[in-house]
Amino acid sequence: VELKARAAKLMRAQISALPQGTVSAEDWLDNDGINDEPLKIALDLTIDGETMVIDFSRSSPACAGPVNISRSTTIAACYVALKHIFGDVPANAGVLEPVEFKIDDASLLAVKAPKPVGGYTETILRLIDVVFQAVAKIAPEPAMACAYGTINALSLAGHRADGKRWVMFSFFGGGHGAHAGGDGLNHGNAPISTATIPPLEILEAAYPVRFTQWALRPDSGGPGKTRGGLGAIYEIELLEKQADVFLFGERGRHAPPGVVGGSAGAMNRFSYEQSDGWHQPPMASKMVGISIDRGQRLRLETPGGGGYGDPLARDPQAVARDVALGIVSREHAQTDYGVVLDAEGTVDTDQTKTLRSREAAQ
Amino acid sequence: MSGPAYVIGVDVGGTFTDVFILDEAAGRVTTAKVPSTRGDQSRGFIEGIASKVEAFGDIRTVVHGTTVGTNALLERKGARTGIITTEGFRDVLEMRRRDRPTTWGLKGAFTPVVDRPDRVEVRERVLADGSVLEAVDPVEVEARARDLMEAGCEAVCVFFINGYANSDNERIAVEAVRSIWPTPYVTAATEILPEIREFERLSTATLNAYLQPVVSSYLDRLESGLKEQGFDGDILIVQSNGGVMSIDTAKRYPVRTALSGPPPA
Repeated sequence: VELKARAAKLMRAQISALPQGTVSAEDWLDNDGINDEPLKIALDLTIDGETMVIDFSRSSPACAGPVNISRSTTIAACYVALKHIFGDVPANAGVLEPVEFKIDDASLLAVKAPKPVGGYTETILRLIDVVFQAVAKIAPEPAMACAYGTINALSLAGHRADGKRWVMFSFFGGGHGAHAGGDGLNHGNAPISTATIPPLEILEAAYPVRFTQWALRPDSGGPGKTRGGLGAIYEIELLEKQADVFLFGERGRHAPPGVVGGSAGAMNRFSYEQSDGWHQPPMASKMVGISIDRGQRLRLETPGGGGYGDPLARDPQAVARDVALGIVSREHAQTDYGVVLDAEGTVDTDQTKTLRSREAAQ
Repeated sequence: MSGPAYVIGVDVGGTFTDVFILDEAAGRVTTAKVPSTRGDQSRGFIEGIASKVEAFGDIRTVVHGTTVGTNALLERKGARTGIITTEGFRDVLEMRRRDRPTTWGLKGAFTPVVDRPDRVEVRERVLADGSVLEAVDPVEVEARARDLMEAGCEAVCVFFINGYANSDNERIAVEAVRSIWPTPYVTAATEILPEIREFERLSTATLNAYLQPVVSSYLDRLESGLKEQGFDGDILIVQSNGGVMSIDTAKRYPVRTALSGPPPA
């Protein structure tokens, strides 16, 4: 009781320090996996004295696919988002005492049985993203840009030579958002959990697969004064006769936004190989029952985090270092950051100045 | 009547070097405290012993807990290290286990001890069942090792995926590196920790390579300094787990001294 009261008090203090008024943020889910239509998650966030009003009224209605969530899940996701931003407040229910929720009963954020909710991870990640985006507009200092925003639940299933069934199911990582204090974390875990990824050696020992790549994804971090963290590339080859592949992901069509003038991270991209070549799922980030054969591969390129602040304000030396590390290409150094490097990779100060002032004028 | 027979324990701290002297023949215990000598801890070490012991030839055993490795690790002052690894996996060290530094607040970051350009790939592949899908080419390994040498690396760690299941490729590669590397500072991941889990095995082996030049050269100075004084006994180095190892083992596996100082303290 004491701890809860303390958390509520601290949260009220945090809220009352924010500028009064309403800010909004809108973000999207690619689709619900059944109907290929984008779903809107819209937040109007109002600061009214010591109270914060979180209003999701403008969000899409409940959908046929499993990206609906219940009202309590919506509230819990907002709790997680606020705790990430206001980290000093103790982790208990007191955090939500000064927070008022407006969630339409008809929306995808307040469904009841029998509406499907199995894909809830993607929706709660998007809720965290809109809270981050809205708060960044009134409190840039503690804010973070959006993280990679998808669980990328991938499963491969088949039968071994002896007839036994096998299913490999795993989640994959991506970049965290940039913030005032620094670049985003490369290959982090989802903001909704602290789960780690199984070692690829464990996956290879347990399932008939071999990873052909397990690497950082260059140019995936959202450009900004501080850069978003990098997503990853995972490429998997099937070693058994046949497997069915399922993917439940997001951010295939709507990239993780930056904040405070930062740009978005790279979108999620999933590809799979069949006898007639490489394909991408028609619904971008979700698919069921695609069959692949021995020697064919899957390739998951996960999103980077969003950038923070104007990319043209990033220290050119930091951009040069990113290029030297091979995590930003020369081309992107120029187009995203307005930084020109010479043949040795050193910043060309004059050309950079010219390019930046030209881009700033546009 | 026989002369004194000493067993000596030495703990080098940031400010003082503490020496514990047991004369096994007389059953007598003495201690000494002298200022630590930053830069080369072996000087203070030897001065500390010399303040109480007349003849170093009377010392049977020296047991030493050292923070040289610990400090190099904490201050990030290990050697510039290169990693030679399986094609497709140069980022294993930096990708970790997809964790984050703090539960709340997505603001932490990790800085790998080996920068990305110093992590190079070669063609080779062992599968989880230990079968060799693709043999390693020692000539390619040598070429990559020369690249690292030219870039300024002092130490190398060779780490191949599934090396725990079959270390043949890794062994061939590490022999190729050792055949051209000017120093003994070449680590094979499976020599350090022959266990499944790529990040854990690689990160431990990388730290071994990173610490080896610093720890090994310190132990060399210590060994020759004691010999010059007439010492002819055993030197035992405290491991992170509280046990001890020979000085030669410590030079090969310096990562085991990462917490050498703290256990006896």
